[in-house]
Amino acid sequence: MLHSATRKRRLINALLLLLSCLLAIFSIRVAEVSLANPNELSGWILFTAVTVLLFYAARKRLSTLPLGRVAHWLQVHIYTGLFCLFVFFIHTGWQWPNGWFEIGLTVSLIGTIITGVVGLYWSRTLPTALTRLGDEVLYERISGFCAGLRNEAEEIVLAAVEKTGSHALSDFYTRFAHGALSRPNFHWRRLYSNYSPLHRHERKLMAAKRLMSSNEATAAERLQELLQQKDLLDAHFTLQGALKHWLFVHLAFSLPLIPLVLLHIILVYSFGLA
Amino acid sequence: MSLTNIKIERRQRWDKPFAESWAEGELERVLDLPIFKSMDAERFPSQLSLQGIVRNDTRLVHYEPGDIVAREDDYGSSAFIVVSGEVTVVLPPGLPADLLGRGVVSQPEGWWGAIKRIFNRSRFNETRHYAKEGWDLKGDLRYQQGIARVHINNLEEQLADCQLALLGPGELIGEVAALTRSPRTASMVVTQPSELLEIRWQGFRDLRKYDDGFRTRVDDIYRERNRVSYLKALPFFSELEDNQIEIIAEQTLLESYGDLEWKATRRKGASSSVPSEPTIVEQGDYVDGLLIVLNGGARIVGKHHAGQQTIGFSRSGDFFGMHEIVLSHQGQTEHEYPVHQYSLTAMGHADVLRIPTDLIESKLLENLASEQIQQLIKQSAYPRASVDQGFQEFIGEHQYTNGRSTMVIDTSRCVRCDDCVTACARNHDNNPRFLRHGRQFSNLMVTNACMHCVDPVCMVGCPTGAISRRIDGEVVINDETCIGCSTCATACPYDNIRMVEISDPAGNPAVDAKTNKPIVKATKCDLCVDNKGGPACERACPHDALSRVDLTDTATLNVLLRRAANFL
Amino acid sequence: MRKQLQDISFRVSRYFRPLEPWHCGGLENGEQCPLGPDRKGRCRAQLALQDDQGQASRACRPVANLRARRQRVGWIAMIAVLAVLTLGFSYDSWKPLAMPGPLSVHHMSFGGEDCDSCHQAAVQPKSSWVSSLLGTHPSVDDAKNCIACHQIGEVPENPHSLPSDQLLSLTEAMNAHTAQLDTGNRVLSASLLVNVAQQFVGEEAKTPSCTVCHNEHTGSDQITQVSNQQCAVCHTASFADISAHNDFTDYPANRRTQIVFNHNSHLNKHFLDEDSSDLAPQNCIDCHRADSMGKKMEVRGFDTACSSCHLEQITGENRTSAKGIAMLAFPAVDTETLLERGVDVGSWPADSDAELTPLNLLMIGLLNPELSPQLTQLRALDLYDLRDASDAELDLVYHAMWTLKQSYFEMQRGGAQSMLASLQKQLVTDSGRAREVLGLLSPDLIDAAVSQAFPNLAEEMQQWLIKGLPALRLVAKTENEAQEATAINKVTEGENNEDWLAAAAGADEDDWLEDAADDTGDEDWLSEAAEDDSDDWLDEAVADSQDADDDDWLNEAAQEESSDDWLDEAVVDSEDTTDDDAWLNEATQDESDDWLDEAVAESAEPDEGDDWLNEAAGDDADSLDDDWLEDSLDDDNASLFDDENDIAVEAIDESKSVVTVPELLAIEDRAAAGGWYFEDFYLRYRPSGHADRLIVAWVELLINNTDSAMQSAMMSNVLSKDSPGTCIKCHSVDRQQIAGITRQTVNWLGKKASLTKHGFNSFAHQSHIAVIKHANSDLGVDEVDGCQACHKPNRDSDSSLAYEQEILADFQSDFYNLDKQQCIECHQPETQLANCTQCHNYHIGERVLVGMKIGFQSEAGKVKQTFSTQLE
Repeated sequence: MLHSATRKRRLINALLLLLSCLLAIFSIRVAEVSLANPNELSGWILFTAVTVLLFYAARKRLSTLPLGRVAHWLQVHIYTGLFCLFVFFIHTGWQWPNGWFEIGLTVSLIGTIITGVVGLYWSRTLPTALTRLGDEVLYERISGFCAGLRNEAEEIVLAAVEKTGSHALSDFYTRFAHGALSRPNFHWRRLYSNYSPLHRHERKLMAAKRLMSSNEATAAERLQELLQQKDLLDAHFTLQGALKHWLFVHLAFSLPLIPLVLLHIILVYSFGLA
Repeated sequence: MSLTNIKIERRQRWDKPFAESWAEGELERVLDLPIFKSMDAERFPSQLSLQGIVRNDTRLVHYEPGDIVAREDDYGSSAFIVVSGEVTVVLPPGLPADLLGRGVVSQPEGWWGAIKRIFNRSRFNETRHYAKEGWDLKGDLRYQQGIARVHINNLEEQLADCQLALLGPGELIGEVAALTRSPRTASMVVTQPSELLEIRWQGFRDLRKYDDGFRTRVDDIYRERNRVSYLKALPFFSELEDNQIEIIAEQTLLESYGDLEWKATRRKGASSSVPSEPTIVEQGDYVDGLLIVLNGGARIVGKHHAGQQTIGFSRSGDFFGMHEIVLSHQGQTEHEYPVHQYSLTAMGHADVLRIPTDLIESKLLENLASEQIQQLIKQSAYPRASVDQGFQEFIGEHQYTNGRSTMVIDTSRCVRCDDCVTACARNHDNNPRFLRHGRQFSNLMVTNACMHCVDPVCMVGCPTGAISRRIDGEVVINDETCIGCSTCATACPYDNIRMVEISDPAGNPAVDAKTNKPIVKATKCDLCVDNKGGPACERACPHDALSRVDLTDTATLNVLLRRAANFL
Repeated sequence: MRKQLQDISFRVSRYFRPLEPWHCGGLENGEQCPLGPDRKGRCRAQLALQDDQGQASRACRPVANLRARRQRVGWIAMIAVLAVLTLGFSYDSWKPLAMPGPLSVHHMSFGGEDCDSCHQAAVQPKSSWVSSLLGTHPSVDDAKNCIACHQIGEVPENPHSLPSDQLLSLTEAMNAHTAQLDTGNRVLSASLLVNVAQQFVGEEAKTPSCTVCHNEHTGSDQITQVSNQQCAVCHTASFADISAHNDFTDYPANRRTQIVFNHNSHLNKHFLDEDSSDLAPQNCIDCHRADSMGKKMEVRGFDTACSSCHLEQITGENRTSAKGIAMLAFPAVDTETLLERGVDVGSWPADSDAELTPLNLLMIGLLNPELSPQLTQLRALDLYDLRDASDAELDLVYHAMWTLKQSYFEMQRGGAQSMLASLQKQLVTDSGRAREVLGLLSPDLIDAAVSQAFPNLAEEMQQWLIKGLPALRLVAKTENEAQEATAINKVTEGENNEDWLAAAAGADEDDWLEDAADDTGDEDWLSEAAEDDSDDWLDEAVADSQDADDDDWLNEAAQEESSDDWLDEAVVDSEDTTDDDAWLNEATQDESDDWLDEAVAESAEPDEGDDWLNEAAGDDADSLDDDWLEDSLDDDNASLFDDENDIAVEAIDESKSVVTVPELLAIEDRAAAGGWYFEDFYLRYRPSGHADRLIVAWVELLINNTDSAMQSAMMSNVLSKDSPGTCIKCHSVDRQQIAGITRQTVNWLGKKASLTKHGFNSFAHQSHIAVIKHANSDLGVDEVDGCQACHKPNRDSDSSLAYEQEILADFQSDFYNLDKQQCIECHQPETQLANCTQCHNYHIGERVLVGMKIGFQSEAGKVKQTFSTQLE
């Protein structure tokens, strides 16, 4: 169940979006009917919208200025992005361009918006999943912790081998645990399901345990703890990684938009808005 | 909740004596002072002997002309006894702030300043222009016995147009601050070489506790100098005439509860139930007096089923028991005498004033109009328990009640983008002033950012007065007068003050010319005081996950919790 | 309870600095060093140690912060794109790169490389592109390139491609019209979109760029998109959809048809007759046919549509009246009266009852311009009975008759072309027509006709040339007339026979003047005469006759009293002196001799001509003429009758054999195939069929003759409905006042559609015919009269009335105006069929696609040659 304020906010913003879309359509039709060039108008509307989208990035860098809460700016950013998509299709007349330049422009814009939507979806869903993990860790520290876990595990295993001389635990470690502990693993499936490889490893460990002496067993239990922690780390590594890396794609699509749009405007004006 | 017991050594009294060492014969000389002579050493318990107190809790400090003994508005932690020479008390308006080493309280900068700040941002961490250009202090620092003193040159000129009061040998100074850990009312300087015996407040309280003469003397001074004005400042008491107030003040008792080094207790293992804390009053007892929390914090606890639950928190200036008294005075209770609805326990440490019930009834309630009575009933009513008991306990357990602008992050909204940290750094010359991690209850994380406490223990004992509290309550550190003694960082119970090693604008580490040790400074969140927009972290959060709140404010708390309802 | 991932050792953990490009590798296990990496990502601690000890001790690899990595990725992407663009556009064939969308099939011939065929910028330096952001709208220049191929209307860039003044007048007309419209029609005015749009119509809308309606590069072949609202922005009083369209007031017919055709009488009467029913058309398309664009309906033409019934009327079969058009007449003249009145017009065919024809009048007017103003009067005269004619009329008759005779004389002698010369001189407008009128007239026919009408024309001519003198023999009462006659005769001689006049003047003048001077004592009048008058008029006579400017001369001669005075005086003097006669006689004698000698000398006539000349020299002219005429007549008759008798005898004798001698048809029937013939003193022409060249030429020749006499004559002669040819029975005549004078044009053809000319309306008949054929049931009509689904015949109308008056628009059609509802049945508002442009053209006027060199001059100086097709 959503917080009522959030629901209200979404309702209002959606209405505003709808309103501005209608307004855009109307003004474009007016331009067309008044024998002006509707594409010119829709183009400039699109340009303005894209500029507004850029303001968001600017606002983040101008955090010293009293420019209001970024949360509000994000709302503007999100809904303007959707608005862009709408105006873009009007501008192109729902037709896919065949010129390489235009294709690039289209891909860049559509890509930006799509990645934005994906990022938005993750921003709304993944934090909850992260919190449910029940433990926080700074993304930058994950690899460090992993290293720690791995070292500890190796010590345990070595100690166990020295003490007991049996290789049941070390076999298990080299065959399964080592791969799991060696480095933080990114599992796509964690993003849309509660997938975890942990129980598979635990099952294998259980199986291995039967062959172990009591000393090894205790070590194995400790190893199991480490595996659990590593699983937690992987979860963080995956979810936080997704949250942090979708922006890479978003930027990779959106920044090229700037030169493309400018060149597009120049071309269009020098080629007579044909 | 994955909290866990951390087993540590219980701190012992006098582990760390106040004075590094006593010169030969000095201790005797001090003990021969009339004030100690008049005390009856027998009455002190063996483990807290008078001599022990003097040796461990006092030190003899030599002041040169121009030295500042104490500053106006400082959170004093010790009292002074003039041994020789003379102390000049500068009466209000007193000395200029910058002379006292305070940061000059400037208005929030405008747009232009903000824009300039964007471009003047230094490229390296913790750079300080003065690390290159040298200090621009009014006075200069002088170390003595390893204690830094701010020395004011040409003091005479500065004092020329000030009202002064002179105190000679034997005079007791700054006892109120030592007693109540309240800000000092006036600055004290030394115009001639003098010796002062500095008694830290722990020892001062012990002396007062075990020596009646000393207590009466101190309390008398306290009353006449302070308590009347304190009471008069309280709501509803302002209605009374001075003589009434004085009568009340005479019979008001000052009581101190809890462990003096209460920070140690905070480390104690937590549990979902209310931890055992020193009880000030018990639920169901006869209300023998109105309690006013002087400083520290108290927890209002109610029995609930088999256990207890936290109803709310009392901070300095809060009444306790007033509700019962008024109701019974209005005859709205089943008993003919008032009975405590809830217990009050000291969270770590609490100083309370106790005003006898009959005095309140006879002196206060009699003089109030009926609508004022109703008002009083309404205001003194106890808060209803917060929507989430567990969180309430969590707050109390970690003393977050002390905070006024605690940074709370809703981790079910936070996308870990670190924009808050980035924004903070951008507002502080490329340096963050908090860490985006901290204790967590469910999806609410209290991060390591200064909470700007109601009772800022960090301010106690800052030798240069670099750390001070603004009129609006923001606790700020004047970086230029900070000498990096890390007193505040150690004092902060929440570890929200960070010591950083500074460098010059070129990024070269600044080191002490003599010791060649890196020069460190205390840094912490300053709530972006000189920024028009308010805290940058809060504004920078794209998902409304971060907010600066007062956790004792049940209303805000409930908003937070309800917003997180989709997670909880 | 699980161990915490990061034990919150807050006291030791340092600030994490996401703004920094790098963070210490130690951070990852919670123990970063205070120095941290520098901005280049080198561990500063390591550097410091290197400074101290010269080599690195503990290796800490700083890690790039996410933020920094993110920004790096973004910048790399942007720079990569920039690089690609720079490379691509600096590459020679960059044009496919900038292609915004596929071209329509119409312009496929410009490949992806041919941007400069339409776009100036394609050949301009790329640096100038940026300036076009601020500069003028390039579409204006590029539009020139559209117009280069598509020649549209007179002013292509104007609205409706019309000239501004025309546009203005049209607008006023429309406003006046819409002022009367009921506001109920103005549905669209209520439409918010259009109302708002009207507020935003800018200056540029007055010369809208092509791209406003024509969008290329859209990938579709339909590059013309005009919405009804766009029309409505200017046409403020127009309507939301066709349902609110005005009712048709004058559509489809806004003027009487060129071909006079009464559908009512044909459909309801003629086609039902037994004898013509089999000839009658089965349905509309038997006579009407869509043009090659399938739009306008045209009449299939005479041969297909009309000839079966109407050809005979033209050729004149079973016509009771004369079947040929009377072109030239040898009129009957009341000679007795004339003689009584002392006016001798020579001999005229006694048994003729012909009247002057327009061509006669034309000839008279041409030969004797002095008379042309009086032709009306002349035509009004009944030449056969001149008893109560006034002197002036007689005078007119006298001259007209002689002129006519002379014209016949010249035609006889010189053939028809002798008349052509003068005809063409006047009718400069179309000399070819004159040739066609008389060209077919054979000299034999002329000779025969003239000889029969005027047996002694030649002798009369010579007599007439000397004539005028005998007039003086009349009684004194009539001397004046005689004198005048003489004078005028002299005048006419002067104009007609210059040689003679010149000779006469040159030969006698001096002599008789001198004699006169010797004989008579007082020389006053003579000297006067010599100085003032006789010299003058003689000189003038010579001079004028030389430059053949007759009118001036005549006017002067007529106006100058001096000549009259002189005549009076001459008469007065002649009374008292007798020897005047003498010298006059001599003079005449000499003259006659001279003339005869000359005549003989110069005569190159055949023998008989000689004969009668010789005889004429000796004998009395009258008797000789009579004999000759009688002889010739006798011979003719005799021979004629003999032949007839012989043939008859033979016929009787050989009656048993089945040889039937074809009977001698009336001469006009003999000319049934068309051509000239002579009958009843008329030279008639019989049309050879429809669109006979002579008739057409004759009509064209006369129709715009401004002479009222000509016009009325013409009306009776050719243009009357029952005159042979009966042209205007079917071909309506349009009279239009152009610059004050009425221009008349005969509509030889029905309305023809032009492929390149476009009006405001366009209706595709062909497709509708197809629809009717398929869906006639829906329209409730069968295929035969499918057209009548829309064109409802108006049985009460009489379209023929329209051709009485001159106003073309004022007429009553055989069909009712179209019913709007009929259209709406199919053209439903919501369908595309209901767009304004479905029935209305935007570009008015000639629309031609010309092939030509287009493309802009590039710096290299090359001009791109594109396709070249000529569409006519």
